[in-house]
Amino acid sequence: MALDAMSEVSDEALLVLYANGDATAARSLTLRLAPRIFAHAQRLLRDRAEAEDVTQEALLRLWKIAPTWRQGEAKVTTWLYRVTANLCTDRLRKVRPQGLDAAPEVPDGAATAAEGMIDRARAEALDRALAALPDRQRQAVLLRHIEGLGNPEIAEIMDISVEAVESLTARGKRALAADLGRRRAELGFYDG
Amino acid sequence: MAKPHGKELSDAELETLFAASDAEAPLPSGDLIARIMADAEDARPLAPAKAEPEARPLFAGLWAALGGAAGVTGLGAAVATGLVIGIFPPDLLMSYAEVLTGANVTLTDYVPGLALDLAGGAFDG
Repeated sequence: MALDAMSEVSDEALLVLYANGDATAARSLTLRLAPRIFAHAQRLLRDRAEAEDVTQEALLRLWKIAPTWRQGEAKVTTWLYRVTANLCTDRLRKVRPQGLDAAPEVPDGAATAAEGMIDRARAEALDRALAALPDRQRQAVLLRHIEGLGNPEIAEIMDISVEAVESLTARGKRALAADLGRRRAELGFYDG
Repeated sequence: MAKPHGKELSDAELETLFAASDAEAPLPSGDLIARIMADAEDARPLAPAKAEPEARPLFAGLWAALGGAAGVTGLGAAVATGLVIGIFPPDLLMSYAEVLTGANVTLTDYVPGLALDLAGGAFDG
C-alpha cells in the first residue's frame, strides 16, 4: 500500500499490516510515531543521545510485539508511551540512584527573550522548570499538556488511578506557575 | 500596568508556554529514523505465502471432471449401450428380445409412449 494511502489508517491497523509483512506500514508508523516518542523521551531525559536510544528501543519492542498484537485491547500510542516511560525511568535510575524524584540540577540563569525568539525562550524556560519537577509530576504534566492526552490514557500509561493523575498534574502546574512566575517579565507576560 | 514580578503565572500564560514548547519540539535525526526503519525491516514478519494452485496431471483432472470412479463406470455403461444400439439394427434387437422373452414383441411394447405418438400417424392405417 502506498504511504499516502495510509494517512487515514489507524496506528493499530498499520501494526496489523506490518505483522502481515507490509514494509510500507512500518515506514508510515515510524514517521508518525518516532517524532512524538523522541520528543517525549528528550523532555523526560534532557539528553538527546539517550532519547534517541530510548526511541529506537521502544519502537524495536513494537516491531517485535506486532505479530501478537491484539486489536482493541490498547492503543499503540498508549503502549509506546508506557514503554518509553519505563525505559526512561530505568535510565534515570542509573544516573540518579538516590531516587527517581530527586530534582536534577537546574542551570542557573534565565533565557534571554530576544526579539523574535520569544517562543524559543519560553520553551527553554518551561523546559528548565519542568526539569525541576519530580519525575512523576513532570511525566504527567508532559503527557497532559504537551502531548495532549486524556487523564484515563495517562493513568494507563503511568499505571496509576485517574485521581492520581489529576493530583500530579495539578501539583505540577502549580509548581510551574510559581517557578516561572518569577521570570514573567523575561517571558514577555505583562498586563495591558 | 505590569504584573509584579514573582506573581504566579495564570493558566492561560502556562498554556502559552506549553504551546511554545510544543512548537519547539525536538526533532529526531534522519539517522535515527533510518535506524528505526532498519530495525523494522529486520523484524518484519514474512508475508503469508499465497496458496499456489496444485499442479495436477491431465488425466487426474479429467478423472475428477467425469465424477471419479462412479462417474466413469456410468459413462462406460452408457457408451456400451449406445454402441450396441448403433451397431445392431432394430429387427435384430427385436428378434433377440423374442428369444429372451419367448413372445412376439414390438417396439411399442418397450416404448409405450411411441404408440400414443403414432396413434393418429402415418403408420396407423
